[in-house]
Amino acid sequence: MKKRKKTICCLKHLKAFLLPMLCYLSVMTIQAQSGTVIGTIQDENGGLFGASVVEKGTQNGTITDVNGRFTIAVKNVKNSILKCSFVGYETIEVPLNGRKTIDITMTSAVKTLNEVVAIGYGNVKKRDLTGSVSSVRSEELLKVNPSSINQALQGKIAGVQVSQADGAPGAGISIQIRGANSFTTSAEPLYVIDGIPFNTGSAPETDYATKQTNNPLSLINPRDVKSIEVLKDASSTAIYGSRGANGVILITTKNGYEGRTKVELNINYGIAKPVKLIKVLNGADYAEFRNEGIRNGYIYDGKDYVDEKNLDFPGRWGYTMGTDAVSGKPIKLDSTYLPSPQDFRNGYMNGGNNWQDQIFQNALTQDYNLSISGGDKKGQYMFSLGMLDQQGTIVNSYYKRYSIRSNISRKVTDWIEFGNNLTASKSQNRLARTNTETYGIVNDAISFNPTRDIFDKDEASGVSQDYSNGLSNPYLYVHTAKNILESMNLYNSSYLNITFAKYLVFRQSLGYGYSQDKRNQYYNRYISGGVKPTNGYASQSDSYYESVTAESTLSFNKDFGKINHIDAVAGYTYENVNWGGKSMSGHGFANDINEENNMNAALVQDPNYSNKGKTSLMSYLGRINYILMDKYLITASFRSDGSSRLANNRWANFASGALAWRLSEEKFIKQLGLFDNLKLRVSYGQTGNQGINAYATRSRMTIQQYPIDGSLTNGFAEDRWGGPASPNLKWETTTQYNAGLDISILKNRVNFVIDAYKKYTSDLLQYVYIPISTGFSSIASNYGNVENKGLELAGNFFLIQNKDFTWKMDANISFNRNKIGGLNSDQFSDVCWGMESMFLRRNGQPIGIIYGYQEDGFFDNEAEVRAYKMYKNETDAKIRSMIGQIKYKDNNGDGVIDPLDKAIIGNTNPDFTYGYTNSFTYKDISLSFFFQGTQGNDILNVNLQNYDLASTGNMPQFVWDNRWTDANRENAEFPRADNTFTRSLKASERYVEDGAYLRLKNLSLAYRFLHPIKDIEALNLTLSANNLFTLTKYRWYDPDVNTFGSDTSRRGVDMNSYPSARTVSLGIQLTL
Amino acid sequence: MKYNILKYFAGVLILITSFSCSNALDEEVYTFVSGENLIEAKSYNELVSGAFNALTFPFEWGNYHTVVNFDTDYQTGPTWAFGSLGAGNFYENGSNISFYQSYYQCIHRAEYHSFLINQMDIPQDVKDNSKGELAFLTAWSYFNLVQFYGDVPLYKTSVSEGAPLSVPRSPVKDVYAFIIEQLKYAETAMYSTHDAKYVKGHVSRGAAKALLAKVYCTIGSASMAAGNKVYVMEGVPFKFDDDGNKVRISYPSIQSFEKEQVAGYESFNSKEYYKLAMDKAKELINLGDFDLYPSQKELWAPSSKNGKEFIFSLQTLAGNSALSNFVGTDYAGYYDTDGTLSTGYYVQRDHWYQLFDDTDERITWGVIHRVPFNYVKTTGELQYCYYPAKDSVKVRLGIDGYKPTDILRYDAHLYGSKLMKFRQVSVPLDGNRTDFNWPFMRYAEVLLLYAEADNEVNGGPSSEAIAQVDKLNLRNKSKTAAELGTKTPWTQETFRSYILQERVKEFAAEGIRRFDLLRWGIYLQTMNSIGGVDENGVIKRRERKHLLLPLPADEVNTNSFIDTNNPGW
Repeated sequence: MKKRKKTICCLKHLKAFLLPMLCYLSVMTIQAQSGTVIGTIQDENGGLFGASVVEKGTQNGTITDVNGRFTIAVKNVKNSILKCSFVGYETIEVPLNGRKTIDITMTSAVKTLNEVVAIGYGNVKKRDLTGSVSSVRSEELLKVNPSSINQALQGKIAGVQVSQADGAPGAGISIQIRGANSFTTSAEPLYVIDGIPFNTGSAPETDYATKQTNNPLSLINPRDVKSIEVLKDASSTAIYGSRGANGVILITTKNGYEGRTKVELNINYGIAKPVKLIKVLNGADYAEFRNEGIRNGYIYDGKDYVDEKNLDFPGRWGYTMGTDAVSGKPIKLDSTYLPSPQDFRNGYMNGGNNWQDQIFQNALTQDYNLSISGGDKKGQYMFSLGMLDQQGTIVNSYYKRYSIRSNISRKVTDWIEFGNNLTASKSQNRLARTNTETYGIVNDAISFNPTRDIFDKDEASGVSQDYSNGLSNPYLYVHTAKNILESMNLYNSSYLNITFAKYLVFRQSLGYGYSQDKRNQYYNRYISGGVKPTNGYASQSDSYYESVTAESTLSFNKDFGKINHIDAVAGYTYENVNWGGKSMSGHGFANDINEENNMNAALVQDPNYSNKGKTSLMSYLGRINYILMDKYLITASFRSDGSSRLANNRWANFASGALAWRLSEEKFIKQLGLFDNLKLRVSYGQTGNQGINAYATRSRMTIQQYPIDGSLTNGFAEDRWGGPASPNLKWETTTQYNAGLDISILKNRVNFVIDAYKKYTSDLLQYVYIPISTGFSSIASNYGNVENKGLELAGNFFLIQNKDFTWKMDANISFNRNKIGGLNSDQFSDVCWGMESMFLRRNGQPIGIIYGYQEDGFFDNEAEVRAYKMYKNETDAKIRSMIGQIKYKDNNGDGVIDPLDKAIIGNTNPDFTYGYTNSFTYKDISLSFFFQGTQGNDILNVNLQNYDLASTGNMPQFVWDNRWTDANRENAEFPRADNTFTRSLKASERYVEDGAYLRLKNLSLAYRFLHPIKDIEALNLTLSANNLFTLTKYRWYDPDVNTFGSDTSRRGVDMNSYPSARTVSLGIQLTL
Repeated sequence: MKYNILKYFAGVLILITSFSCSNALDEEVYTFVSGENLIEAKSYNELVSGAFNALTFPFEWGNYHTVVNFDTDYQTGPTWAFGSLGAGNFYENGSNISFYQSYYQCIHRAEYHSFLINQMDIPQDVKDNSKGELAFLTAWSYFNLVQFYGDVPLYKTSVSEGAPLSVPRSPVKDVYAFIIEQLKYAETAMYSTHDAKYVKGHVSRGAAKALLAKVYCTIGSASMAAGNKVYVMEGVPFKFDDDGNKVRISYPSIQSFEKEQVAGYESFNSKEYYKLAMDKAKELINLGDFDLYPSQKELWAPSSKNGKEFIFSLQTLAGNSALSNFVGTDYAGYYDTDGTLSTGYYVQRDHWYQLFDDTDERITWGVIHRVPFNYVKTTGELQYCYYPAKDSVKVRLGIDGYKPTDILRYDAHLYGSKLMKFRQVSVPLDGNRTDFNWPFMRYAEVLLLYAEADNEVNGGPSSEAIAQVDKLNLRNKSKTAAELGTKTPWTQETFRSYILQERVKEFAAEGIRRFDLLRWGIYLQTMNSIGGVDENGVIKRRERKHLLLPLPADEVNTNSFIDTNNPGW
């Protein structure tokens, strides 16, 4: 009775702030019975708080208190059995046998290796794994307060390289498992959520110049995730056949547990700042730069002499003269003070404007999550609500997400069970213009003239404008440029389990996913993208992606005799995907009031576009695990995939096999008394790649209109970018070998997992260049190969395990080497205007090689210019103008600097990447810090292209300080100031920078209050900081940058990136 | 036991239903069709439009005029614009690649579409006309390619019909044989402009005849023996005086060049082809399919687009971003909201302007003489600059539209001829894309081709040749050839040079000059007679490698039959 009263009482409190949840809570009924048992549950460190105790066969249960004590009334003290469970511990059943007081000891699942991990189409005990599978638990992921789960994986798992596009809220994240297999198709892994492959279409693009991507996985609330398993070797991924080559990430969402209702409220407040600002010239230095440009014009470029008082910044009054209408004499119409550099040093305009201050802000993040879970013998439920409101560090950018999840399962009879996992989420992302070739707001803020005020009442826009270099006023830009991406996502997976016998279970799953993305944009008449003659540019576009997956599997799990165990699964799956989208845009608006909301108002209507497509995939799959004497483990799997995307080679088979030998079960190892676990694993298998475009096998005649005498006529022709039909396409195949060793010593306190692998991908699916004379430039084909070799080390160490103090350390490091082969000729990828063919693919070289011009210092004097072949016969004026300019290496010696002089100048592949976590607990306090980094990789810093000292734009201080001047010939890194507007720097080594970094990714301190007030079981307070410091030589904002996202051929590019944020946040977790 | 039966029954049922959908992998399409669909639908018009659509590609981002105009003696502008193609840096230049690529796209489409139309069940004349238009497009494309690149890969059927993905370069001679074959078919297959079924804006049999005449003339001039004389008005544009000041040399001087025989044309008989050209041009003149407009103003009136003088033009549509272009803006500029003229960066050099008689409409009407270049905020007035300098007296007197306040500016884009012809657009130039129909061939050219061929066939101009040219002179209010010939009798050389000069005057910035210099074998002499750089610092110095454009690196790298690029590249 007491217990029941408490529940009701508790409800009263809940009502106050959780009224809508009432109905869920009231489901709970606790039956009071006679016969009371008192006991404790503990592990080796003492009482366990929050463990669930249920009388077996009933819904009668309780939870242990802070000291591990519990009281439960049972039906029958003699016969009843108590079932004790706790997350991370082995569930045990204890027969009472008449005892009324009982002490129960539970053992941690981690230590017994009996933890169950998800593998494709099934689960397996960690100890029985034959393949290479890494697993991360929710608690581990949530430490960094991630807004998405893929982001949370960074640095956590050996062999998994996570890179963000940039630091924008909601920005794309790309994941590469064990290196890139492919260069034109996607190298992203396959995501499987609750058993169903998760795909979303790509959101409509901003425009051609912008590379911004969104992160579809951010629609899954990380707080709903129970665990993530990463399948790395072919033995584990081959069951996913044509989609397994890039690895598979299995995401399992939380479910309820048998026992009483658990209510958890999480609140997180954070404040973020850019990790750093780039120091730019102040007013004085900038004025100096402009004056120096003019002086250099006279000294070197043959321009007229300009005396000091006619420089751009002379330090005198300037007048506009006119003629008096009556007297005809000249009069002063207007006067303005024209400051000198010294004036700025003396405090004129407070020394000048740093425009970065106008676009960056301290950004607030609020994250609220409520989850209610529970269950009984017949089934479980979990319901959660989440709301995230994350401001960006650039003014007016933000990411908002609202999510609901409901996971339920229910047993209809003892042999039929069904369940349903549903997520619905909606997000809104307002993007600042970053990651773009044109009009990037961050570069704008660095370049904009620091001697100008923000506002200018004489301008129609109300803000100061600088027409000399086409930059928008950064203040106006961030406040008015509109680019909002709204996404809706519905993701549902249901299942029905029929247990024919204890060892034979049939499962039918049905997955349904629907996502919709909508992008609205407006650029008004005063900012880049909308200035005259455009007069306001608007666009609206949307896209949808719908997938239906049906899976039928039959699993078999049985011991034969004492020494044989067989675990097998066979199945059939069918997946059908529909996608489409449309867009409209226009410009020439009468005013900016309605923005893009009324597209009719555009004087010039661009053509509308729409697309639609469908693909389907059908597969048969099977896997068998055989365990002999608990020592020898054998796995074999097979999958046959048929795809609508292929024509003449529609079906393909993928098989794998793995062997594991648990040496620690062998007598001769046992005798050593050293190993708690020693397991050797070897595997081999084949997988395919999903990244082939639909319809590549066909000749596609699309609409190509042509106006005849001013009236538009319809035309048909093959799409010029698509390439001719390629009916013989087939899947590319990756063959992977893996050898691994699992080691646990010192009573499982020291654990190592070591894996070495070699992957060979052949028949690469790619758009291969073909002679332009065919009328096309590329054809989809199977061509070339890639080899990846690597080594992964992961260790976790339970260094100290006392009752009050624990210290745990996790570390991982991975090495990958990549090599291209089988190409007939070099292939190239462009980066942006001025950086064409900058990425090279060449036999024997890895993917991600930077190819460009080489430099040989600067022309320091006329003799040096004259000695340079290209200028041998030039006029004296030309020779003089070359002083202080960059001297490019004429590698082929033909006297011309052209693409034939290019050489390999960088490699964006890291030598290794690593992550390192330490966690300490002392009583109720816990502290953890997490380092993560990469070593040996280059970054192509495209941003520097803007700072060539040849325009009227401002620049970073290091550019100015290291420019070539007559006095600084020796240490010059940048050419001299030049105001002839003729400089065009070549894509050379100067843009290649060392991208290695070591980052304190997260530091968190938590305190747990138990029973802070009546009816609240626990209150956790967490103070955490992300990106506290980064050790790097990289000169731009953040070395964790990857403009082109999942495009493996162009990794490690920084083009107008959104700086990452340093975040400090306070988390409050309340458990009822 | 009862449960068990139910259980197994349920299981089997699910298995059966899930395995039963076996045709589920058929690929459904929504946004495109197949060639077979179009044969069935008899979409011959759509296939013709779809092929000609490829002509628009190099106009999307202003790549076409940079290739055909920038690398010539009489065009100039700011060095930032003329620093690549204008300065002879052709290798891997985007416009060069676009030129090569889009003409091969034209060829691919024309050939594949012709193959499809051939299979249609439609009336024979309709089929012939459509196939004729596509044959014309094929010929036009190869004609452009062969002149700029020399030997080129020759596809007589498309890869979509099964042709291999790589073919070797065919000799110039073979390419011309194919071009002529296509045109001979086209001139009989297509409708004439008089035909009731002819639709304005399409090419006609006359276009095929005109192009055939041009092809014959090109072969005639290119294959003509080395050493023949051609006179060109050229020369250095400036010198430095004793104080080191730059002094402009206002007038070009007569330069006498000995032509080269163009590589690849050695096996042709020049005379023979000039005879063919003369006959073909005459045939077309006699047919009366086309005619001249009576004045430059009427010729370039927006209402004259696709009119009687325009044999073959790019078709454009105002307000459609893919089908309109910046050509008008780039050459003629546009008036900003404050009244100043913006852009208009590409101009004809001052030496070009000096070729004309003072009365010639091509400069009196055809060149913009006053440009409002600055708006003075405080007074609210526009400042104008005038062109050319020799009109200073008129400026002082304030006559002929000038005002005494007009000033002279030597900015690269202000001191030169901005051409009125580029305002042949149906919407006001406002900096956005407009519908300038690039004139690929005009009837005026047929007259000049006739005169050129006649002069070479007869060892001097016949009276008929002079009469045909004078049609143009009368229209342009220029001195007649007859008049000129009475003062100093025409010789073969002087008339040849006169026609060449007439061409650059009439077709200024219409993409003809570079072809002319190349086909006459005087490109290097002409360009180098400028003496390195022009008055704006644009590099005009050229070497032998410039005689052919480099093939795009992608062609060389991917074509299994091509190992090296054109000489020097």
